[in-house]
Amino acid sequence: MSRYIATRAIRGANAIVAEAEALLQKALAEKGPDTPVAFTNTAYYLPVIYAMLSHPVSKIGDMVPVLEYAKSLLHPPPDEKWWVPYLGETLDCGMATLLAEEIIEGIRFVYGEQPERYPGFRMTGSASFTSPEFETGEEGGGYLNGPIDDIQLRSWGIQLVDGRMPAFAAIVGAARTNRAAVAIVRELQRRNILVFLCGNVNGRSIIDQLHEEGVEMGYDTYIVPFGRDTIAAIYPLGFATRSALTFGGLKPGQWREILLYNKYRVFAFVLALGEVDDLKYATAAGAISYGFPVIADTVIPQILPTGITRYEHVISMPWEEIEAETDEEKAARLVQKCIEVRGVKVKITEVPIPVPYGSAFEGEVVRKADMRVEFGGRASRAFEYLRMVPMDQVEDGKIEVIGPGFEDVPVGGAMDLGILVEVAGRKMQEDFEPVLERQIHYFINGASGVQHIGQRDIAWIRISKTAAEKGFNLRHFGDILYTRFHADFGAIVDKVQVKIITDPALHAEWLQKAREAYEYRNRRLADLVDEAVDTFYSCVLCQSFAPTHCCVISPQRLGLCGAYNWLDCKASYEINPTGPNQPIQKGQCLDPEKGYFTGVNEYVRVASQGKVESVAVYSIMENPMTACGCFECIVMVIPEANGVMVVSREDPSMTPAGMTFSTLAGMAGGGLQTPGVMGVGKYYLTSPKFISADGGFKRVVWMSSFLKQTMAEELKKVCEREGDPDLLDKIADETICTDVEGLLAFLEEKGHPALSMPPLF
Amino acid sequence: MAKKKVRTPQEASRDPAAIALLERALEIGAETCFYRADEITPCPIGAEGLCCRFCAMGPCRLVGDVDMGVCGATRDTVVARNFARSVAAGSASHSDHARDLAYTLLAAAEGHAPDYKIRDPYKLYEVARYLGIKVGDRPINEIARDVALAALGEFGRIQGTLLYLKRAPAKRQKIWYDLGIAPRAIDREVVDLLHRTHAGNDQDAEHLLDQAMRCALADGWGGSMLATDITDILFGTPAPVRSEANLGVLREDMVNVIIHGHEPTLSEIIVAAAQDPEVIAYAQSKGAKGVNLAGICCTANEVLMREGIPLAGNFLQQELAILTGAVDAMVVDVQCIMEGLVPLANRFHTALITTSPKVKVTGAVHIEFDEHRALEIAKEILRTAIDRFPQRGEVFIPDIRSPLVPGFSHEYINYALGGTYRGSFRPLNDAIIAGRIRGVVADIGCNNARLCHDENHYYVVSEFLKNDVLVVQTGCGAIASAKRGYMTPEAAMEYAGPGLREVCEAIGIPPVLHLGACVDNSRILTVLAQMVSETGLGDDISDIPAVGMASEWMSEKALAIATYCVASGAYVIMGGVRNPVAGSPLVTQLITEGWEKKVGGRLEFLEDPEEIVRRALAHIDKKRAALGLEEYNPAKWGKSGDWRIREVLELPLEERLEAVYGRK
Amino acid sequence: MEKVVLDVPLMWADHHVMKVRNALTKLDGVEDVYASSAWKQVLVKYDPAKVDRARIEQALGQAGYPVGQGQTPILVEPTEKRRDPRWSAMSFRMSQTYRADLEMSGDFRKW
Repeated sequence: MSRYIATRAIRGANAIVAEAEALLQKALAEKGPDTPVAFTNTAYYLPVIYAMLSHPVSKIGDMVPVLEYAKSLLHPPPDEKWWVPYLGETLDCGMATLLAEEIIEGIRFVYGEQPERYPGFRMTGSASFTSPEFETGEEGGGYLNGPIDDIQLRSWGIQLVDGRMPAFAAIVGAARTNRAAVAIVRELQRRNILVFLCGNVNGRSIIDQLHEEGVEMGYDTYIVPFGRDTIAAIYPLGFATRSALTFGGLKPGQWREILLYNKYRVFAFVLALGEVDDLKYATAAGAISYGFPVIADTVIPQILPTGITRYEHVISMPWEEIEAETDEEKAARLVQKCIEVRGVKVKITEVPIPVPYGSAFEGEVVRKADMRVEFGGRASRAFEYLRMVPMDQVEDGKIEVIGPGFEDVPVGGAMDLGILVEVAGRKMQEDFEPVLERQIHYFINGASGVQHIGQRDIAWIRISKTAAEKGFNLRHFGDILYTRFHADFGAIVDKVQVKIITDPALHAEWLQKAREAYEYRNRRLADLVDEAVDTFYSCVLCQSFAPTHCCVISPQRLGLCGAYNWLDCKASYEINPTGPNQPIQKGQCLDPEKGYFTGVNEYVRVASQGKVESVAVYSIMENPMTACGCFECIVMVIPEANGVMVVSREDPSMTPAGMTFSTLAGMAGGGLQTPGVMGVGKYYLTSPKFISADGGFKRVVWMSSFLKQTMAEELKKVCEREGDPDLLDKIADETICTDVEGLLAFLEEKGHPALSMPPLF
Repeated sequence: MAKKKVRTPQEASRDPAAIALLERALEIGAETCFYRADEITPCPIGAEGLCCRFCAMGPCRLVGDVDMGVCGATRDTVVARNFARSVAAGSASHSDHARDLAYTLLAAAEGHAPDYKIRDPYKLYEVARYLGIKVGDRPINEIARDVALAALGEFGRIQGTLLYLKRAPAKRQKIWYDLGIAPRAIDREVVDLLHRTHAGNDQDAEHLLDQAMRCALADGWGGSMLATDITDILFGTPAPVRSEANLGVLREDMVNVIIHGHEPTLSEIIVAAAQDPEVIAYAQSKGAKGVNLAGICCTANEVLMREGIPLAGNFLQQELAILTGAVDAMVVDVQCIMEGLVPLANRFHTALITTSPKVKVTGAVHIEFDEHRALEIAKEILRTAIDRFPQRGEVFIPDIRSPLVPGFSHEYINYALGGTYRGSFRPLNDAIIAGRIRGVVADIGCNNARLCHDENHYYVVSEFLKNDVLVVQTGCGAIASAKRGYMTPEAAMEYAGPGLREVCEAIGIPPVLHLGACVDNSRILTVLAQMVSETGLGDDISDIPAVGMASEWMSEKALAIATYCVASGAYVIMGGVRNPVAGSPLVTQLITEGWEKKVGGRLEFLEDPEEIVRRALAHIDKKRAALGLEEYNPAKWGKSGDWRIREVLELPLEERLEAVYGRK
Repeated sequence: MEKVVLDVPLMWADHHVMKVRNALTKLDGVEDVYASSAWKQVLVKYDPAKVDRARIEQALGQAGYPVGQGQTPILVEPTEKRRDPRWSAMSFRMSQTYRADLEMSGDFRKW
């Protein structure tokens, strides 16, 4: 600390605790101690309070001891002269501030003041579906985000883990100008850094600035507007706190571990834009305990010695003194500094196209009205096909557009498109073709103003008017793919050439060839069963977050995050032989039914640091595989029904186990083996090896309707395979029942096969 | 007696208050230790450790052609024996101090000493953990009783080694066990050493010195550490507080009671008694406004750290305090009490009151302390002092005092570096690794009347601060820096190099940390051990870029401290007077290169303060290099701080709103 | 147009700024407001023909932000010798490196 900062932070902490106390007294008087308090869709109550104090707050009365504790963390501000030390005291006050802020937001929820009302505001993309109760109102909007719910946290899990989302930035205040605000946020987005917004300066928040400039905010664009005051800064800290609980396997009350987890594994920083007041200093002091440094664009005292944070604690980079001509360049310098100070490892691939590029743009939606042209969908056909060809048939970097461009297509029109990527490389294998081909989706989606959906011959691409105006054309697809394949898969791909085909005759010809290839691959995949290989792969990508978890990925069991299947791992191992995916020699098969292999056991024992002794790859009942926190679904045994339920992370509702996904996740995650509970990737449901030791898919008695709908076709095939084509209809969901009694009645009525299967126990 | 050159007051001290009183002494013709030091030539034979007076066949003076005593003892044996004896005496002093505290804790726990209670239960739990005492939900007095008994058990431990040894880094413990110098029982090691040094016993210098290390370790990781811990349990673990130092803290209008010596047991109760309305009323009845307490030596440091009682001065100021004529009573307990106080006190109205059952001084008033009736005795002492107040004659209090912020227990330092939630030594280690802090120096120990009072302390500390070395201090060295103003947080801005200043400003600490009394050197051991386990600075204390020194040492306790620091891996420099083992080149070699090879630390005696600083910095840089740390480069640092925002604050609001964005 | 800078000690955070701005901007004649929680001051530009300083101060007072009055509460006072009274109540005395510190600092972000 500096004494200046310490004085203000301690003063701010005292003031906010006093304010929280007054508010709490008011709430106790007006609403009573038994009035429920909750943030949206979270199993972690008020997360910072829950994690630090192991004290679940579910009603107003529960906050009283928290406030008393917060008071006990307060200290007097340092004197002007002859002062006594203040660093430890300031950090304590920072924590008191966070507790008080969370109390205040909790009470604001009670009064319906959170999420913050913001007339005319609309979040982009899928944000609202996780908080359906706030979707009503003006055009599905009118509110800022409020706290991030557990579902979104988990779905970001794998990206936070594998470095695709290298960090998050909590921006507090407002930028010098709107242009600067946009520039800063774009710089962060370009690096795929998650951007959280809160606070204001003179009543103006960066949320206002971005809103005025038409910047899309929402989960899909990696920009989350929390609220327009500094108190809302508790939400990003709650997010950080929950990431330790969710992915780190830490328990509430392990406050020191949780804070250290954040220091070492969660790459977050605070960007204070504009003047800094007492509460901002106090909140920053709280953030520093998490190891999050503070960077300001104004003159504030710097605290450069390190220790609580990994690098400098507080950096001042007065905006006007940043040596650069334009706001954009200044923003780049500022963001660069943030990254240095937090020690964030960012890999950016410069893609030579006329629009911004980065994962943060992956989720952008191009609405019909904003669309310049589309390929695929209802009105045209688009396909993408990647194939391996001999070395001498590829001219590296050659990008051809064969046929007309979209210049003559009317605005909002459609045209046929084929993307043919030909690669060659000494380590390239035919098996990697689909792995690489699937990347086309992510690569193309990274361009701002371009939307890509689907794959193979059901691809559907839209280019926005803005992107087209900036000069984006068909050739740029080639530029993107060429650059990214070299950058990301350089270890297996030596040469890349791209053909963009719009010529009708050629399009038809290649579409046919592509379809033949898809068919061939499908057959190959069907043959790829666990018994056919002698090597499985590990995935310890998540160990940077969940240090004892290790996925075992076999051809018939993909990773629980859904992002890595056996072929992906094989390719990943080729790309980085010392990376997170290592071959596991199956070794001797000890039990083919349950899936015990000597090689797997040995590997897991070492990889889990001795926490897991053995794993049954095909069983949920006996030594099930552990989970980190980014699983797509949870499978859990319902003993009364002699079966299992499958809850998808998109499902916020109650389940027959008496717990929501978020609560269940606490049992399934953290690298612990819990018989009867397992986190899985949703496509594992379709595998013949899905809990095959325990009876397979026929054990499924309840399943989130989200899964039933989104995977209807795949699941139907599974039912047929299992010899019970109507099985899917016999499986209950949350629209049918959310308790065991209802479930049993439904199963009886439908004659679900689980009831007559051998007992699970 | 032959007339020697007597030093002027300016030559005898660097402390203006001391100088003023030395002038006063000349004026009124009072004799002090400064004068006596000039008068008496130190015995040149004893000074080099060559006088063997361990049996009645001697004393043998092993000088000139004599290289063997009557018994055949070589110079090496005699020098080593003399040195070892000093270490035994020093260790005995600290450890016996600890024993008394353990008995006080026992009495308090059992309810026999109603004026004491467990002021710091959390520290008790921490200590219980080390001593293997179950905490659970047992009543606090039961735990305290077990802790006291376990502590007492360490003095006469029958088997095994001291429990606190496990607080040292693993590598260090292994060195001790491999060398066979892991201390067994505290008393046993002292007795063992006394035994060995008796005539006709251990007559191998290296072997004697090994036991000296073992005995000293029993002090550092035994007696002293227990003394610190139990004092914290009984009177609270120190945390920063404001106080003042130097003779100017004496008050003309109040009864001045100086507490002097080393133990906190009585002085803590006197502090309480001085606030007793009955005592204050009695003082007022004698025309005083109340009772003003001030301390000298380590009793002072104890009550300073815990109660913020001001410091009157260090060891060489005990006589000077009486010369002010304003001291109504000087209450002494044990250690470092000059007998010369008696004639001086007799010239004034001052009551010199001895209190320890172990210490009587001929001519002093003896009011024996008994912890079972502590408050009652404390009040009696204060009444004696108050009764003297009306007899005061002319008063001469130099108006000199400096503010300070003491109170740096290792626990507080840990807290200061991260608060309740993140407290650790990481920031300190980081600062050393980065080079903001070049290294750490502990400048501890005494004053020595043969040197210019405080000169070495002032010099070395100021040099280290300039060179970005964090200084920690205890004992009279700490009091020297306190008087000089090095222990205020502002001193960081004034005296520290750019890197150290940044660190001090970040934490809000002075650049020189007051860690307490001389038994609290054990805190330094704890800090060092924790710096090692925090990682980044090697895996043993000997890897840390740190130096210990007693730049004006005089007592045997200082030798014991030096020896346990060396045996713990530290480089220790004893400054000022001559090398007491100079008589044996072998012993000199054994405690330097020999010990460095064995335990990684070395002990050197250097007279020249500039040489002390040079060697200390060279050692620090050597250790930095060995750790592969960046070379010390102060030009890189100093960019933190409040200075910039202060400029902004000067401006009117409208201009300020622009100015915060920086100069265009 | 005139301008005035007013001290508002109770405006110590940005959620107060919202309320202060709200109170002032709705006054007829107030043309511009800069409410700074960092400096706890408000800069008001106004048309003296329509509104005066007294009215502005009154509006601030009614909103709960009296000019030049009040201060942020400090809930804990140091002792006479400036020792932090909380220290003795803090329930830990750490004299060892916390194990988790070392475990957690292991190799982070491997990939």
